[in-house]
Amino acid sequence: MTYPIELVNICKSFPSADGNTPLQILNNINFCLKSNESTAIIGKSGTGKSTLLQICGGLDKPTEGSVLFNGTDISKLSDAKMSELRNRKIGFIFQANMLMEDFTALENVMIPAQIQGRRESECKPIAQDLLKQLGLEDRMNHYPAQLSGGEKQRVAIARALINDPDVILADEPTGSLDEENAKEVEDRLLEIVKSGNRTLLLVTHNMDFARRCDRILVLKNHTLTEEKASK
Amino acid sequence: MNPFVRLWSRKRILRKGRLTGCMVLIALVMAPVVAALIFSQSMVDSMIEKFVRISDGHIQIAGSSYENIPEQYISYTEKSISGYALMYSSTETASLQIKGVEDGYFEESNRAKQISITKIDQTKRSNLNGVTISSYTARKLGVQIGDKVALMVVPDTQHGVLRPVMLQVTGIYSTGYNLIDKSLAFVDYSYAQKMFESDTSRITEVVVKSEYQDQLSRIKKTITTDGIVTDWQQKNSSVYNNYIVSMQAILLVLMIIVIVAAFFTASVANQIVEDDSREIALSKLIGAPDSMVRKSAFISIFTVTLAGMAIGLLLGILIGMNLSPVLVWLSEKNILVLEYYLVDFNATIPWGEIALVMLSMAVVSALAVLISLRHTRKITPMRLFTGV
Repeated sequence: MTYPIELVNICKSFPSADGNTPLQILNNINFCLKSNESTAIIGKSGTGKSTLLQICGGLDKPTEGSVLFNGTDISKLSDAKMSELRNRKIGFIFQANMLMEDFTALENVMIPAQIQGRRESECKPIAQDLLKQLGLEDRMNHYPAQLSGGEKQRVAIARALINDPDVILADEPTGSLDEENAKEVEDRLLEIVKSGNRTLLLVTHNMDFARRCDRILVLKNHTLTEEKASK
Repeated sequence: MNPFVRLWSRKRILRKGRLTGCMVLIALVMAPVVAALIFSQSMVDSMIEKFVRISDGHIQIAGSSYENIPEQYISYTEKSISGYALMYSSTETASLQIKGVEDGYFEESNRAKQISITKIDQTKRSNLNGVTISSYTARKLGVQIGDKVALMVVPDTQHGVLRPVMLQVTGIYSTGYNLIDKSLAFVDYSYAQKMFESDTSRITEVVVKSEYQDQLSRIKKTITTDGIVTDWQQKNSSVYNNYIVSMQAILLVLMIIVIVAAFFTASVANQIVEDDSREIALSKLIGAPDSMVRKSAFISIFTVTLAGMAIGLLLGILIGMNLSPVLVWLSEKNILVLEYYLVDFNATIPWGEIALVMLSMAVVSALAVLISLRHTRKITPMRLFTGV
């Protein structure tokens, strides 16, 4: 059986400052994400949650082990194939706003589709529709500098969804938002997973948000343990 | 073109900053390069035209008879007598080439464009034979139209007799080119025949059609004569060699300027990659391959380079075509070096040379930018999280 994402014996260490003993971050991590399931990874700051998410998305490489995406070992993919995988199959959402400052909200949302070669006439209605669904119909032509934190985060969500990805990887998506905005973003994300047969892997400190997910994984002492199993 | 590449290139070009600066600098480099090419080529062409029309023709046949002039290459031939003499006024002396020309010599349309002549009022004409000297020589000798000068002919045969003759200045000309004006004076053909008796003083000037002017050596070889056949390049070898060296030096300097400008463009490309590193990392995060990132950066930088070159070309043509008034103004300031240039010349655009310089710049810039853009490979999405 293949899973959207499967981690096999993942270890990650960084060179230490003194150059002697490597700094171990992740040790022998194994887990798989199922379709139509939301999973939250929780843990204290500095335990390697974001590193684990970056490894899942092929942004960082593990020191040992392999990441399988729908059964394919992503370490064996060329840079071009890896780019294509990130573009078509994965949607990224991060805590810090990661929008292109010179592009409007609408253009930011269209970028992943345009990278695929889809024309503006083809992807603009989809991007507009996504922004409308996220309550940004009157903010489409605004630049990131003209948007609030919550609005930027919703633009990032729309951008993550434009190519209809199988997996959404979200790193503290509500970390920089006030309670009201955070709740709205949480609702949207969970609704997207349920409605679209997608997989959500979420890194968060927000326990309320984590509890709303199907599974909770705790990263502690470099290893991962399951706190709440999927029904 | 990929829609993202197009959009990002456009955004980058429209963003004010380094690229605008790059465009302005390229335009500022290109404008003087183009102006210098127009100036040098027009100046050389005009000087050659003066030499050919006024002084020597393209080919000179010195001798009493000749055969096999290939008529299909020839615009016209002209008879003249040539020798050397010293000219005296009451206070000064000038060493001159005396050229005997037939009536109507100065009326030939192409020649008339190259020379301006003030002739004597017939009421002031004396019985002496006339000589037409340049305004430069007139100034040097301190004489005016109607004044008398003495001429000491340098004998061109072993039997010649050195004796002075008195002439009246019946015309003062100016070609606008000092090298000719300093050395040439005209007398009647029939009078020159008496002064210079040797066969080699009898010159047939051959003016070649413009489309065959690069085939002088070949045309020259077909002519048979009992005398000597030379071309204007041999006769004025120092001038001709100066032209060649000047043109090569100018082209070399231009090429160096172009290469420096291209490397500046490459350094701008480097800076742009650094400035845009966040956007590059972000676009890679959402799936843009490195080739797409490089392509968009290349298109924006190269578009700006081409725009700068086009603006520079237009500016350069504007400056190059209007250099004459500047030279006239400078000549009025008695700047010595201008003696060796034509103050008034027909500006022509050397499209071939300009195209060569622009093409070189485009190719060198493109290569330098492509090499610089290899740095985008080092920018990974992880830069967004780690900063390196």
